[in-house]
Amino acid sequence: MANSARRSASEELADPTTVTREDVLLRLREWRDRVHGLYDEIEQALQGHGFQFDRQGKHTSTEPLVQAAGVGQEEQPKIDILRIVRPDGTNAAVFHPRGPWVVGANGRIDLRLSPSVGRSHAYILMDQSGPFSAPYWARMPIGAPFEREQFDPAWLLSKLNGQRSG
Amino acid sequence: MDSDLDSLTRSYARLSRDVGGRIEFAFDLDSDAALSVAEREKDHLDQAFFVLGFSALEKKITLLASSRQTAARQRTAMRGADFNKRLEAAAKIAREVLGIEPEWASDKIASTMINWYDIRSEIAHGDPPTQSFDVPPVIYLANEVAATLDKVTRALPEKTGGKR
Repeated sequence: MANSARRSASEELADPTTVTREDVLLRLREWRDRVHGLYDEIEQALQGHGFQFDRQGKHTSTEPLVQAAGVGQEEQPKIDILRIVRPDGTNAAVFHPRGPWVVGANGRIDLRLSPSVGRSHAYILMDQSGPFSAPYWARMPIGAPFEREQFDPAWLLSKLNGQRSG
Repeated sequence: MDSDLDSLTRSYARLSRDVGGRIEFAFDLDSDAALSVAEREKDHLDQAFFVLGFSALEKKITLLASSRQTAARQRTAMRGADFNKRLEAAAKIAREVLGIEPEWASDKIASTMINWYDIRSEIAHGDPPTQSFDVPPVIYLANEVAATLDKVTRALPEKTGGKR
């Protein structure tokens, strides 16, 4: 039986021996829903701006906690990797979910922006919400963890449009 | 900001910029090997600064918990007490000396600190339960406790009529 329905990731990480298979699967399903909900918002905001969305890539967790609970990769809920693709087929942005077990946060997604010309930029999205509650995505440059702002799909659109005009 | 924490913050910011730059460079090289190395370095950096940040937080809690004790023996005993006990004592002193309930002493945040203490111990035993750490919240919390410690330190001689 799941015994940590409302426990935070840090609570589970502090006492991993009490985390059951059901807890892990529950957490991963809830994580998938949060991540996919964010992707849906992004796709909606970018609709009609000439991008394609590819969610065929999947992420499964290799976290020690998942392995210790005996949850194999094949039984985990598959979490999409979101690629935002330009008309020429190149990646403009890739969202790569890392996992819900982050000490100090409620999950992490890595974001890479790849302009057609010039250097890539990497960001981290941290969910700063409490356990099993509505997500609050903060974005920060990967090299500047103190410079965080709420993630807004409109910000992403302006970055992607900037890549095109730049 | 407390000078120890300020130094820690600056170091973490500088090293994060460095490793972040290498991750972006690896993207541009389109090299999985270089990316894997740079990402592993970021994980190590975050893990190390989580431990350092939590150690700074723990030190502030211990100083606050022993701030009313005048004998070295009592302060040493407090340093050796369980983290939960030190946290309780620190919150009690803040309440009694300042007449306020600091936000960090709330059940929710206190319980987070206790979890972090356990996670730090797991890392110290070579068994990190995850590779992902969000370091700034630990440093922000250490700063909040440091601010309370500062207020208590200034208020105590007044409360005790200089008999500390």
